[in-house]
Amino acid sequence: MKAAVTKKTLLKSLSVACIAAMGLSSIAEAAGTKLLIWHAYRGEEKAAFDQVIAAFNAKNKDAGLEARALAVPYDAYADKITASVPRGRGPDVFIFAQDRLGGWIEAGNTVESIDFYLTDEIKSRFIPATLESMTYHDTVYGLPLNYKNITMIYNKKLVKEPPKTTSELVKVAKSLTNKESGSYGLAYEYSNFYFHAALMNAFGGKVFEPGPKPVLASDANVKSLEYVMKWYKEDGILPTEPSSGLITTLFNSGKAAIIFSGPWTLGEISKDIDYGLAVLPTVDEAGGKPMQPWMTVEGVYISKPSNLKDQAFQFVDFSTSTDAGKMMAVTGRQTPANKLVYDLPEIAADKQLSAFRNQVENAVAMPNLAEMTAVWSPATTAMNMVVKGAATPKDAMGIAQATIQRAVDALRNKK
Amino acid sequence: MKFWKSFSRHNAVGLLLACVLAGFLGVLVVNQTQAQLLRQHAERGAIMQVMALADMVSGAMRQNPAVEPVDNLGTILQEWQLYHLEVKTIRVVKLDGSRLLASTASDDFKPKALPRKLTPDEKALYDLGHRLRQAVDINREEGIQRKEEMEKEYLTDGLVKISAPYKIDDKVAGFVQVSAFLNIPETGIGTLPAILLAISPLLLFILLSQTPFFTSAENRKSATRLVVKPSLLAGILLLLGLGVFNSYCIDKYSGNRQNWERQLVQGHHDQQAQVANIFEKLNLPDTYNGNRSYSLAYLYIRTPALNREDPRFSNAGLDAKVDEEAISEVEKTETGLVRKSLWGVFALAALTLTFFAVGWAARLWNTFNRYRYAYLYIAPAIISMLVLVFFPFGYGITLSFTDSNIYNASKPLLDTWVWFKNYVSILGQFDLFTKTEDGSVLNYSSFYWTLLMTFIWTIANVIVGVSVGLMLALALNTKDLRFKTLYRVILILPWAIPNYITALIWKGMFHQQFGAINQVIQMFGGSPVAWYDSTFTSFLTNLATNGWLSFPFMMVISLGALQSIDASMYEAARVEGAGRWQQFRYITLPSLKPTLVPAIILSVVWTFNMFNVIYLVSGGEPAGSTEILVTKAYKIAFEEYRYGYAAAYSTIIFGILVIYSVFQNRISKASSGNN
Repeated sequence: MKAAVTKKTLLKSLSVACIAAMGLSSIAEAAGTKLLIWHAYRGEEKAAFDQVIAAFNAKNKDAGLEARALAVPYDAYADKITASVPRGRGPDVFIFAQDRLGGWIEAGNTVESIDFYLTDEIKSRFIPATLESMTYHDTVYGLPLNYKNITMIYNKKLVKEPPKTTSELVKVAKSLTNKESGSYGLAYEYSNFYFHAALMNAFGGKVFEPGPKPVLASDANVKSLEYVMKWYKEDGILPTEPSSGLITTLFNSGKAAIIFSGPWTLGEISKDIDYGLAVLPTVDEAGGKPMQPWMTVEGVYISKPSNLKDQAFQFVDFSTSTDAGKMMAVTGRQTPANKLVYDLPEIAADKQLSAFRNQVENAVAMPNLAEMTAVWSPATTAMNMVVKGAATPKDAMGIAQATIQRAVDALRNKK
Repeated sequence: MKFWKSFSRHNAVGLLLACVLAGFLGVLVVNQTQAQLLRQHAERGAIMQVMALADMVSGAMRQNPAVEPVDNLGTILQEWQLYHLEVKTIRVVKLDGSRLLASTASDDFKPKALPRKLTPDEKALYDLGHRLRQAVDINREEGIQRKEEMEKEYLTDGLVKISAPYKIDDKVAGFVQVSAFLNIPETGIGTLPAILLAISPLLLFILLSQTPFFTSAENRKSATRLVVKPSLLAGILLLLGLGVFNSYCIDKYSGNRQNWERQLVQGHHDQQAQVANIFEKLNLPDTYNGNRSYSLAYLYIRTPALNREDPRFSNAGLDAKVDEEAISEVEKTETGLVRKSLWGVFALAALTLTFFAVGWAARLWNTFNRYRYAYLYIAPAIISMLVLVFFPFGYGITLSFTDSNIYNASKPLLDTWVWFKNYVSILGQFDLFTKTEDGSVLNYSSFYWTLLMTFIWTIANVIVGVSVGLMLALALNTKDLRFKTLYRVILILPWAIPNYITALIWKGMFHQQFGAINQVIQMFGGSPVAWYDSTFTSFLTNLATNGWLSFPFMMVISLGALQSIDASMYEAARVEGAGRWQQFRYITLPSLKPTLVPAIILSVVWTFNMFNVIYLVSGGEPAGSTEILVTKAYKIAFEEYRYGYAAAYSTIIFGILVIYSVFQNRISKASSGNN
């Protein structure tokens, strides 16, 4: 008798649980045409993106199309996409920087190619390099939303006229450097490969040749490293051990006249400093070519397993439109990849945004190859060795190149 | 009947099940493998045909690429269909301007007459074309045949859709898509051998076990004979039955490969003749002719690392011959694989038989019956353990035998199977030193360096954790100490805060410019230390962080043990004239041992795999020298994307911990015995 009772209760509770689970899932799925969008924005950037979503929903209300945004914490975001999108458990649209794009394309079933939807009208509204960073082997996989790159930030009190060439820069910087009081004419994270890339690109250096074949130890790269070592050692215009924190502190205390950094620094500059933004100088030693920083581009992608691709593209198109770009520039203080935004009077009047817009003309898209993640750690080691004088640029880069080559070979099955 | 009693019965059931299992699985293995090979073979033939057609299309397109409709394109397709009755529809798509140039499917003419632009519904065709172009470009760039330069898709009702690119000036300009019925010959072993295998050993067993050899009176008296004899008989019968069955299967399986390959080459020659006929019939000029090297990549059996410089890609295909040597080599490995899996099936059957013969099956059934409800209640736990623990664990170990990485993660694991290659290359990293111009440098990326670092890390941490924890516990154990509870709460705090938060705080404290530690050093007139620049100081930062994290645990454990020591022992010692050190050495320490040893054993395991601290504090700097095994495995998996290699790394970590736990068992036994 007792056993029978237990059995019954067990069955009952089981069936209750089942019904509850079914009810829950049916509530979640009972939706119309709802687009799910993942992003990792926070603060004012999130506020701006929510505006874009609201505008999109207002526009498509009659069509019964509704976009819903989900903010995913950044730390887990990339892994979440990698794990859930290919299994059909992801969103319809997601936003991410271009550095993971190549990996996702090669892994398959993650990013939909959107070449087919692209008209000349759509293509022509972007700054060319930003669209290029969304392109993998001549196929476009997403539309660029915002970009970030470094530019020159100078203390107006110390520097009257921003230098246009490196000779001018060195001259100005030398006159403002006083090592005893700890002031420097120029400060930037020159031992960080991302920041160094601006000089590397000016000298015509690269990370990968097609193949992909790492060419870190190429003559151009070595020259660019020797050049930055000249700034550091011979001219003595750079501080030792540069870190982002140090550079901000120096600039805020008026001890660094010029810094190279990105929009992320602007929020940290103290209110007492009157600063200006200018384009990075041209490098006389590289035949007058401009310094070309790498840029990271946030792209908006359609997930391959999505069932609402056409609607998803409507959103991709809308989010990169001039209207949406304006919201992101005004509310989010972001720099949209849509160049038409900068023609709007209120944006053109904004010195900050137009300064980054001017710099992006000379920016290079950071490679979107999957192998790029294998570059950072060897490159950082090599840069540190060079800056500390533990190895010549050629040797240090040679070691890094060999390490990366091994990683590439292991991946692409080249024996 | 006496026969149906005891061990004879177990053996009979076991033998039946083993034979049914072996027969079913064996037929399945052979038939599946054969069907797969036949399908591949048929696919290769069909792909060659599509490529030949693509070559002709490219010839037609080359005449005047900009003009539409393309001259002769429609007639070429029609003629082609006359030769190939299995072909249902053909489509030709041009990438530039995304145009559908020609088609034999009536549905394609619906929106508008051909040639026309692809409609929004035909995005799949557009994407397909660009995928093919990408595949050709990528292969050319990398110099290997990593991607297939065609795509196939199985439709319902036996149709297969094959798409192959056509090139103009060596660039992919579009593609040809053919839907055709794939002619796969029906072969395979029927169910008869399996049925025979299931019945005959059992019948023989029943018959033989009635003979006097088994039923004699003295046999029945001896328990051993009663058990051993029938088991032996069943074993021999299983071996015999499966031996015959396996050799029959392999015999049926092998020997076809040569014929298939010959057929393919013959098909290739026939195709050349057809192309020539179409040329003649349509009166096409010779400029229509492509280079005819189209299908060669699929004509020959493919070796795993087929290079693009391989002459098989570039030689003209007019005099294609059968490559006997390659075929017999491939055939040998394929047959070997089938043989291996058949013996695997045999092993499984033998296990099944043993399981029954020894009586485990009966015992298992009885226990299960008796504790039915117990099993029902723990079923959720069993299932969740299976799903959450054992499956990922097994998957990880399987992965470690593959070469899986981001580029081939979507392929089945068996396709990237490399056996022990990962293990060999990890364990074979004896190059601890790399030679440079200024002498040799330690190679921090070597497995053995990381292993050494992991050991040093573990031992150092346990020493720090135990000594600090024990010291604090002794201090807190002082009688009449005021605010004891307050101290205890404060000292446990480091343990209560999530360890990654603590790790990030410590990382900040070791910062060269702004870190609290360097500030203090400067306050006393020292010069700031670049903590992450040398292996030793970088290691110290990790050690300090983890020491901070691990002492509270040791303290709590020791404190508990200290409080349980009988005070009268100290009293007696004092009466005997023992000093403080002697009291500690001969009373406190031995009494702490039974509690401390398990705690140390646990903390060794935790520290060995302490990912958070290493990853967040030193991050392996400088140059990966302070990396431990887990963080290294993480970097291989998520920075280099080599999943198989990283899985092998993790399996080795697991192996080390298994060895450790074996020793640990002995140690804990010894320590409890001592007590």
